[in-house]
Formats: sequence, C-alpha cells, structure tokens
Amino acid sequence: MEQEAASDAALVSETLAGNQASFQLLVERYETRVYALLRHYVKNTSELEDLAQETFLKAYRRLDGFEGHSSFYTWIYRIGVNTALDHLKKRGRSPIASTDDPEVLAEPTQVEGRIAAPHAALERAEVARVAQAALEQLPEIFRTVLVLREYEELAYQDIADMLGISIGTVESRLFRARARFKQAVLELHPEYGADADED
Amino acid sequence: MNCNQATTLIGPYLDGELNEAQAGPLRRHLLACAGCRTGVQSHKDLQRWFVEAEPVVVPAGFAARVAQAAFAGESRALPTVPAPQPTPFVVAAGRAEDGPRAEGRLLRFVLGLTSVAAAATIMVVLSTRDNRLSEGAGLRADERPRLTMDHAVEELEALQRAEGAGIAGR
Repeated sequence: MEQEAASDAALVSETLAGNQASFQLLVERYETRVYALLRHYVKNTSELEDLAQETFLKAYRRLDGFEGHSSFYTWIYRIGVNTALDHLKKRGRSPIASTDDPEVLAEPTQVEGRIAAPHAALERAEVARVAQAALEQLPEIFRTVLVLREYEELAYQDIADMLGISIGTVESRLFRARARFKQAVLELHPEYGADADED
Repeated sequence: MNCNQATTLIGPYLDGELNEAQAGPLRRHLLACAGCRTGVQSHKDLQRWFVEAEPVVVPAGFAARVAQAAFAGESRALPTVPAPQPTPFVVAAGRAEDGPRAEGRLLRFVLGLTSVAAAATIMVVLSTRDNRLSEGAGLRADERPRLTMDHAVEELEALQRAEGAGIAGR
C-alpha cells in the first residue's frame, strides 16, 4: 500500500513536470474505481464517460494542490463525488437544501419491518437493480455515504476526509441512510420484507 | 449499555470501526439481548443487497484520451509558466490544416500593428519634445510657449545675414 502511494506521488510529480504518459498511468490506475463510483449517480453510458473524463480533467487542473497527505484515490474520489453531485444539481436534482436537510428534520431512525437478505434464487443483476432503485430514492448525502461505505468499502475516516465532515457525522448519516434505504426497498418491493419472507 | 445505544453501534461494529473499549460493552450486551442480536442479523441482511450489477467496463483508450485532452488544454490551475493558448483561428475553424497559415496571418497582423504603434509613439514624442517645461516653469493654459519679440528679431537678423552672404557670394 505504501509502495503504491509512493508510486502515485511519483506519477503526480512527473505529471506536474509535463509527462503526459505519467498522467495516463494515473488515469489507468483509477479509471475503474472512478467509473464504479460514478455509475451510482448516472446510468447513461455516454453521460458516465463524460463525468469520468471531467473528474480526471479536474484532477489534472488541480494537481498542484494534491499534497499527498491523503491517498490519491480518496482525493480523486472526492473530486468524483463533487463532480457527480454538481451534475445532478445541474439536472435539477438538488443534493440538499437547508430547509429539507434530513439531518435537521426530526425523522424516524427506526423503520418498521425488516428486509430479508436477497433470496439465493434472485439474480445478482436483479439484486443490484433493486438496490440502485432504492438508492435513487435517497437524498444525495445519504446516497453518497452508502455508496462510499457499502460499495467502495471506505473507512469512516476516509469518508469523513473526503466529504469534509466529522466521523460522528459519518456514523450518524450512515445510520439514517441505512434506515432510509431499508424503507425505500420495502416501499418499492414489499415482497422483500423479512415478514413477507416468513409468511 | 441499553438497547438504543447498542442499536446505533451495531453498524460501526460490523464495519470494524469500533475500538475495543466500545466493542467490549456492545458484545456483552448482545450476549444478553436477543432483540439486539436480531438487529445484527438484520444489518447483515441489509448489507447483502449492496452488490455491483456487473463488472465495470471502461471504454478502450479512455486513459489515453483523457491524458491527451488534459495536456492539449494545458488547463492545470496555477501553472508555473503561463501556458500557450490555442490559436483562435484554429479553434474557430476547427481544421488542423489551417493552423500554420492562420498563425502566419496573425503574426503579420501583430507585427504590422506593432510598427504602426511604434511610429505613432515616435511622432508624439518628437512633437512634444520642445514643449516640455522646466521644473521652475509656471503652468499656462496655452502650453506651447509663444515667441518673444527679441527672439523674432534675432531670427530675422540671422536670415538677413544669410541672404546678404549669399548675394555677396554670387
């Protein structure tokens, strides 16, 4: 891991010195992870490619500001998340407004009912489709922490650094996000409720 | 630890985010509380929904295209040396073959403009050179100093002397 970080730092230095091939190597190293992250925000293939390209071009323009205190992938993820949220905002889906901040509003943190684990017979693609549909129901701040934790498996500290929030806020958002995700699945697919499964 | 406290810690516990001082009391609570153990199972069930549909497929040549676009734009923030901007003619025309010719036209235009500006500057300097006032001179509304009578007489006498010399020389 340390060697990888050093190698990233070297590629950043070489890019700053004008080496295009080094920047291409950096992109090759992280393109799959950036794509995986961004496809939780957009579905269309060309839109996804545009967002991924925009993410890396922004990274290139800001490369002087990368100081190596954090790993390159958390840095590029941060740019990717912000690029995706900006994109959604332009499309008319506001990530959050102060008046409807789910963290400010008193909301139930416990959801009645449980969802069962996906049935073994359910196709992987169908499980992913249900989860994605539920994610799209969530306010962006909840979707983002769930994506970063559940799909990208980032540590709370990395998520906190990436989003500029405290670890306590990450915990709080994740707790609420999971409750809202569960609620969304049950609303979209009552048949996946644990109680329904037991019947 | 009560059930409410345990409920909020189950997620971080399964995510491996609790230290031993936090995890120990939770484990003891879970051993004693069947309801919270169900909560743990419920959390695990939930996590099994987060699967990727299919492997990510990045289009072939994506990295090369991005790197090329980045360096073609030279748009990195705070460059040490100002990056050259693309020639407007090339961008406007959108045809690479117009580039050198367009650059030549632009160069000739800039050089011509520079020459005109230089000539204009020289003319202005020459025309105002005699008008500069000494530090002690007072300011006047009519800035060009008028000829005094003495000066005019001296010039007339000089002309007459020159004419006289010319006539004598014939």
